[in-house]
Amino acid sequence: MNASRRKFLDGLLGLFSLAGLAALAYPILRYITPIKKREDSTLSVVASKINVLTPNTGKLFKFGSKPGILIMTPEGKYRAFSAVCTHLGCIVQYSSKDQQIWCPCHNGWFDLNGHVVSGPPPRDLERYTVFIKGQDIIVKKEKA
Amino acid sequence: MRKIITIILVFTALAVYQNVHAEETSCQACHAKLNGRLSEPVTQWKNSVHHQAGISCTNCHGGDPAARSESSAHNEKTGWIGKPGPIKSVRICGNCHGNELFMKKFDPNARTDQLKNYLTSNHGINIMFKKDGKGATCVSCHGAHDVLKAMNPQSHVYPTRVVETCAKCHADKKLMAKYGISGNEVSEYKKSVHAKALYEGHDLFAPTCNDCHGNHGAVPPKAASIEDVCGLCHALDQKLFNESPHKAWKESGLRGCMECHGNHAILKPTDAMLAPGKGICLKCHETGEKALKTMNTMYSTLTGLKRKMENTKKLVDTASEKGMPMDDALLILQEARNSYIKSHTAIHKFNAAYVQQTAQGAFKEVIKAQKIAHARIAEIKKRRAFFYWFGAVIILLILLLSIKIRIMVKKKKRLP
Amino acid sequence: MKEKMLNWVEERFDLSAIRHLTREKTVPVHRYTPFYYFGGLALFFFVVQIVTGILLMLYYKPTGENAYESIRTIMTQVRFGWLIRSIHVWGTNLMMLAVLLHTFAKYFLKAYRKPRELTWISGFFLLVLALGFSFTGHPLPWNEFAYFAAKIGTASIGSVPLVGPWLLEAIRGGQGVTGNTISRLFALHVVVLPLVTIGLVILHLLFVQIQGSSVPIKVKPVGEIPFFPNFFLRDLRVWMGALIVLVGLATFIPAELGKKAAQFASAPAGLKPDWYFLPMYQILKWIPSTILGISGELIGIGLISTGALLILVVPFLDVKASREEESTWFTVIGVFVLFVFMLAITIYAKLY
Repeated sequence: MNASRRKFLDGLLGLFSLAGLAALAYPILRYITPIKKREDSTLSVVASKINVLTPNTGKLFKFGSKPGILIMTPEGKYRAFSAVCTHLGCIVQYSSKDQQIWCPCHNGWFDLNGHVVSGPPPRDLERYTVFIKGQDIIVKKEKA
Repeated sequence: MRKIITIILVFTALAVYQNVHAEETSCQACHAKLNGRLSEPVTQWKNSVHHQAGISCTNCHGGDPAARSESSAHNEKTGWIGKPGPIKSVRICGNCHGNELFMKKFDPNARTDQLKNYLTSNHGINIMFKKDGKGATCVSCHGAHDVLKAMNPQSHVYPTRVVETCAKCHADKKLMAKYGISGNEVSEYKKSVHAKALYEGHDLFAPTCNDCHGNHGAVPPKAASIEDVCGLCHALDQKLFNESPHKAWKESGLRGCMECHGNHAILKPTDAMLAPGKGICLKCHETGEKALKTMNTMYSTLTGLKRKMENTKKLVDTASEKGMPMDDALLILQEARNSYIKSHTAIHKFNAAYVQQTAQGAFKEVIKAQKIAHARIAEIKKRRAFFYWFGAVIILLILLLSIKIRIMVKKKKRLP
Repeated sequence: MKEKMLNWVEERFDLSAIRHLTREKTVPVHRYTPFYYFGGLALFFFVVQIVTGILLMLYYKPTGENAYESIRTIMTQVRFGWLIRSIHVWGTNLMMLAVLLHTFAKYFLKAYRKPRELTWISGFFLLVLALGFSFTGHPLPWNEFAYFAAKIGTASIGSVPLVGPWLLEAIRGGQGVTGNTISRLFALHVVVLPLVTIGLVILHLLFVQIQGSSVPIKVKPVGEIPFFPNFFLRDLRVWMGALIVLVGLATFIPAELGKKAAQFASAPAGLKPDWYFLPMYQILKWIPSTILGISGELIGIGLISTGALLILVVPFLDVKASREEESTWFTVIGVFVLFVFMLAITIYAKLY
């Protein structure tokens, strides 16, 4: 009786030990499995595919947790800036008609170098480096 | 021969050099030793832009800087003026500042239209034509001796100091009463959203007095131009306003933007301005009019959007506090904030459907952020559930182990 | 079958030492027996740190450009990455707590007395190594807090006489705290310190193994229990409890990531080191910048080093204990200086 009870206890202990070990192993095994998604990095980001923009257009893209703006100049060159207006933080847009970057909130204008042309913005837009890798247009933050 | 020319050249150069850099004129030498009012100008001038540009006492006051006695220095024969009166002082400033060839020497972009503008202003008309001696002259705003460039933080006309400079006269109710001006303008302005941006936000581009009234040609913007003045910064609002049923405001004898927003005490617009039964539209429109229905719809659209945004922000914050990274949701919320501002701008078209349509963009973004927040909160619950199961297994193991240990102790006691 | 396998091994290796451990090692039973758990607990947390540390290395990239982003990936994309990192972060705190409790317990039980002086000394260096792990590991995520921790932490190294400036540059990998600093701290954190620590842990355990557990002065054990399996199962039970606490903390208060370090950003307000560094931090803060022409920092470091040295040589100072006589003075000093003072200064530094 006592011996069988002890055996039952040992069996239970073994069972729960296995369960405990499984609970430890499961997260570790899941952790080790490589992730398929592209690693997100706030230092460089794929802003767009080529052939999306035509000359004299622009589009917004996600740069980490902040919006950026990618522009194809009328000459067909890519340029990228932070899309956060330096005045009160609205998101800027590209104005094809004026060939400038425009912030609608208080009518701030920036040229294609990100410099303030007119309106209230106190500083220029931060400029990013753009390069093309295969089908991707990659935007990179210049190092401080 | 060449040697002699060289020597002569060197000597003339030295002489000119000494002349230009003759550090102390007799003006400074004497006035520096005097007291108060008579010596102050020397130190003030030394810190001024005129000192840097080599413009000295005699350029404005005349007299002989090389003289050895007061009487010969202050001799009207050598062109001594003394303290110029208001009209004279404007002319003295204008002599140089209206002279393009002269000014371009210092700054190729220097403007030279100040005097011309001044003569069109009420200040200029009072001083130069009505000769009442009471209007502002150049020195009233820029200072007489301590003149600095406008963007120098010490300048009297630096954006954050310009209001006080105008207030020297314009806050004086007694003086202003003579011209039919209330004198409340400065205190009103200080309540405004623009003043808040300037003083609390240190936004040097926030409008102060001169941004709407002009600086040298200071006149009140005529009712007809008020919309263009505001439209300088609020361009989208102006565009929409001109597409609205209100576009004919001039013909109805109204004053554009001012009717709803006021002039000096322009407060941050709130949704309450459109509140049913209390909105600002009731100033002109009467109950039962279609316009009020538009107002009510715009109000419910905007406040609905605001509630939704606030609730979502709370949800995102909750997830963030519980340790979830919420960068993506915050980015979407920032975009939504832009659409939120846009839908507030949209009311200037006074078209309920247009406002609803604009707000729709913001709604879509907010819902996206809300979904992310819900997913993250669900993830938190999943994590905690995992922990509870895990904890339960381990606690059971501990209990079983304790029983085992007790049995072992008993066994050991029984054995020997 | 089991017998056969053991015999096969036995023919090749002498297993008597292990057999001795499993069959004959005993633990004395008296009212202070629970104090024996702390050492095992510290060891348990150390193993957890090794396991989670190895796992973190699968995704972590020790460069200025990628460190922060790789931790971000671990926290947001790798499955259970948040758990592994949070356990590693909380593990540091709990391990330090266990190590400190172990140290205090051994001090108050005078376990350092003859013949266990070497155990105490090896333990002292393990404590220093544990602090070293935290010091080198904290800057690795390269967030704002980590950056300033590295900057301020390494700065005090510079005031060491003679070799200070060289040592500072050697640790930082240059004049300032940059990506080079990460590489160097990383090498220390994952290779040098673990090697030294594992070696020292083995030595420490070997001393315990050879000399057995110390019984406090004038305490008569009521008996003894076999280490294996009786005491080991109790150890196991404590470890499982510790695991629940660790995983619970990691689940409910996951480690934060914060903002990426920016070299020219100003230090965030209220920046304070981890709690186990607070006494040192507070002492350095109290000392004026110069005393009699000598840099205050140097004096502070001198004071702290002297204190540490005194703790190191306690077995040789406490002559009474080595004669198995009660050394009340050391208990009193211990209570007031080591415990009350350290606790008070930690709380003070935390609050103000």
